Amino acid sequence: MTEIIAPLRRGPAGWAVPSGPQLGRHAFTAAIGAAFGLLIVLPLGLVLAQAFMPALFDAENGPGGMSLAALAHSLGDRRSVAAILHSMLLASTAAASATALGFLYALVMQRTDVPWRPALALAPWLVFLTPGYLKALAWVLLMAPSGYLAQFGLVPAMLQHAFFGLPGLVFVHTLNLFPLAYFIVASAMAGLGGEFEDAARTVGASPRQAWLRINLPLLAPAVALAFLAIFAEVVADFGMAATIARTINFGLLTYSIFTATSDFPVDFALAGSQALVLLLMVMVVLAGDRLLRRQRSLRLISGRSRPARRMRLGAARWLVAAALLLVGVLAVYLPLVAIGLRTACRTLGQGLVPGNLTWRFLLQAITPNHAANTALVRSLGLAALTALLAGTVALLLAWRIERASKLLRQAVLLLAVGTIAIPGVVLGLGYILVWDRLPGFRDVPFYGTWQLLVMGYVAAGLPYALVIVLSAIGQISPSLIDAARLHGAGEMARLTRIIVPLIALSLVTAVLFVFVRTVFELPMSEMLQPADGPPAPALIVRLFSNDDDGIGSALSLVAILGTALSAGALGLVAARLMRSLGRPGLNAMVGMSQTR
Amino acid sequence: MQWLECRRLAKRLGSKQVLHGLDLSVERGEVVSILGPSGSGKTTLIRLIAGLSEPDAGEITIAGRTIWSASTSVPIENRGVGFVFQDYAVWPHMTVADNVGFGLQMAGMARLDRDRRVREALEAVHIAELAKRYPDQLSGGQQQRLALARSLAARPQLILMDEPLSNVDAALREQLRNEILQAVHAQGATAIYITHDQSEAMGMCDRLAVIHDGRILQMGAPEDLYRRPASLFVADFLGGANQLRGTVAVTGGVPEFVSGTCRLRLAGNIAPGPSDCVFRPEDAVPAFSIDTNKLEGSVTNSIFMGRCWRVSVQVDDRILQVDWPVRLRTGEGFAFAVAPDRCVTLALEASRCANRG
Repeated sequence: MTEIIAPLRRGPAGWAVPSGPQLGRHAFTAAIGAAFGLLIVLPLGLVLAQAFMPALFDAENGPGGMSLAALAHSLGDRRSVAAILHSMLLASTAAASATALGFLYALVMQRTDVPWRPALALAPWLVFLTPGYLKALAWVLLMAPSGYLAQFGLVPAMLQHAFFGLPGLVFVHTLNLFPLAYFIVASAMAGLGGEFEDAARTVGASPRQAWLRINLPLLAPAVALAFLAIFAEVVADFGMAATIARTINFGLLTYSIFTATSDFPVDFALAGSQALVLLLMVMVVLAGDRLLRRQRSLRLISGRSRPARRMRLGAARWLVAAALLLVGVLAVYLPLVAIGLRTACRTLGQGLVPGNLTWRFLLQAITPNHAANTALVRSLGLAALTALLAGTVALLLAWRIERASKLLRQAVLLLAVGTIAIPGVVLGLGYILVWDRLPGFRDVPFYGTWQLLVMGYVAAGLPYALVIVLSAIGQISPSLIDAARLHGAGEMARLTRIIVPLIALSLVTAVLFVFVRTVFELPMSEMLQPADGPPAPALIVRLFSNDDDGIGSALSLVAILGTALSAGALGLVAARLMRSLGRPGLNAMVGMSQTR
Repeated sequence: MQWLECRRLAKRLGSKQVLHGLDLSVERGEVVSILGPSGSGKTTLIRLIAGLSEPDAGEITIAGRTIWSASTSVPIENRGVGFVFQDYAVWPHMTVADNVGFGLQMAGMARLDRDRRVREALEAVHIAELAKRYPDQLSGGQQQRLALARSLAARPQLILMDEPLSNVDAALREQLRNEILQAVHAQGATAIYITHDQSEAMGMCDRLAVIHDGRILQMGAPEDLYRRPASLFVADFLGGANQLRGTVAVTGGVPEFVSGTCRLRLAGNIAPGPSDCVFRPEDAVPAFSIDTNKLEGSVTNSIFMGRCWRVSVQVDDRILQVDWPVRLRTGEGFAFAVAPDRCVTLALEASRCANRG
């Protein structure tokens, strides 16, 4: 008898697999599933249901049946169709121009001896990290009839006029999104190496022929990927749609969804059907992306290659460097300067004269209990909470998935990438439907609280954190974990003693990325505003649209500085923590030991 | 009953049946090499023994205790098994001493005892002076020693080694091989050593098992396997062999293998019937040294091998390899002989079955 009882009492030393851990595992999986369902699946499902069942939440007539009426309405209504066409037109033009600019930027950086490299490489990152709508608002300050560029006589009236139309939107989107193309194409060029080109040269091709016949065809998939990524970004963008496009009455799909849910009378049926159209566009792009990634040529060039020779530009290199610098200036430095100037000016029109300078806006933004400052502090706090939550959930989820079957891993990754592609407006609409309308959920006093906003933020930020953490965990050689198991480390010990120290850098990156992203997140902030006051992004946009652009600029400036400072502080603390946990150069080792 | 017993182990990975009801027995204190080509299931086998993955069917016992069966699974950390990984798997964020001490800490060993055991393990593999270093400050050979020390520190009864020397250069490999053997013997542990390198396999072990397609084809002392392979695959994988297909005929009580113009007298009692005959290139001797067993042909190629020339000779429509002390010119006629006791015949049924594995 003792044979049977003793092992059970001995717990881990026992013979039979105890049912306890298995139960825990199922509970954990169920919890993850429930969280995912609540965060993403349910809201998205309701949006889709709303699209096909216009009367779903009709208080008087009940849910009603399936109908394509709303869809027909959104495809028949003149304004709605205009919004769809505008979105597609803007997305395709902006994607083309941003891809072209990103390609040129990558070409110069990867294949020429252009000077000022560190500064030129920094600009795309700064552009990438500053929110698009702030840059859009800054460009309005610059290009407005009484704006700074007009004041200095730097911009002719014709250009000014064109700016407030499709060309202006394309211009700002291009400057905002070219880094995406730059990152994708530059890494493809780095992976391409010089061998293929060299081989072409040895059989008699001129440099030009080698580029046209060898390099460009090999880079074509990367270029197409960049185009698709930017297209999806523009279609799903809410920042420009709610700022420049709104002021010039250039209706876009995302803003149209927002107004259908926020302006009286609320029309959820229209919002749902427009969200469906938007989702369909994004899905088509995603499908294209999948198809492209499956192409063999992309894998062919991802191997280890010898770096290509860099073309000597001679004296022209200073000119080329200046051109790239100008891109950075237009895309990020000038808008920041404009926001800084506007912060310091009483009015925009009176210009940079001593009498027009003031500290008032800046002081308001940093004075405790002033509305602007309250919004900022609220946003920083919510963003910090969101980042920590998303980081923790991403870590646990990634750790669980990594040991699950390959199929599940693929599925979750696909879902995460898919969620990244879901426009914030659509997800926001889903949250409103769940917590304001869905029986059972609407009775919970959750709608209009900051907790709901955090939930929305987490849903929007989690996929990014998950992708970063998953790829880091995927880098760890499985035998490092197996070795820990063999040495008696339990699940918790493996996570805390092996995994976390090894991926600390990526974990910190994920948390910081979500933090920065959340401070400036606009669609959720607009749609899920808590009752006790707006978060900073919503307030900034409102101030600008109410012509309170002075305090709006001050708030933006302080938000950027505050975010940079707190992210920097968080990064420093993490770096110190990491030094005590492990050593620098860790990631290289992890990569090195990976042979499986 | 042997100390370690694997009975009818089966394992499927994805769509591939990796192990087909494999049996393996190891005595206490023995070092067994498992030799096989990549994909033969050798790593899967020791991962099952260690508990890193679970068999689909079968049974594993150590010292009479069932550690895995359809109804039983002893957790990995309670199997008392050490494992040396092919990629070392030393934790890059821990010092050498921390790597070795980790398992002891997990087992709840007191600090002082732990430090002593760590020192002993590091001394056993001659890297005690590197205790404070991090893995990225070690050479490949030192990392290998660290991996060994880590698996020795917990004093496991059984040490499993998964091609531990495949990432170090040839010169160091020889030296490390001896050190590993010494350390394992000093601890009185039983060891299973996985490799695809036949010279390493033969040099490392008391007994050698050749695995192919998820089955053990033959197991025994290395010299037995080399001299008396039970199948064409074993003969070929262990050092390479010439193969002839023909028939054994017994005339006047003397067995003789006949294939085309080749007639080879055989030693011992061999049953008549269709069979394969194998002999090794180094078993060729000058034609005049034996009365019988002469093979004649023309030279097609000679390659310098260091201690001899490997000469390719066309006999009938076959190319045979022969190790010869001098170079022979291409096209030259050439005769050699193979002593009867060096000709191993494999009845066709047996060699076919074993080959299908």
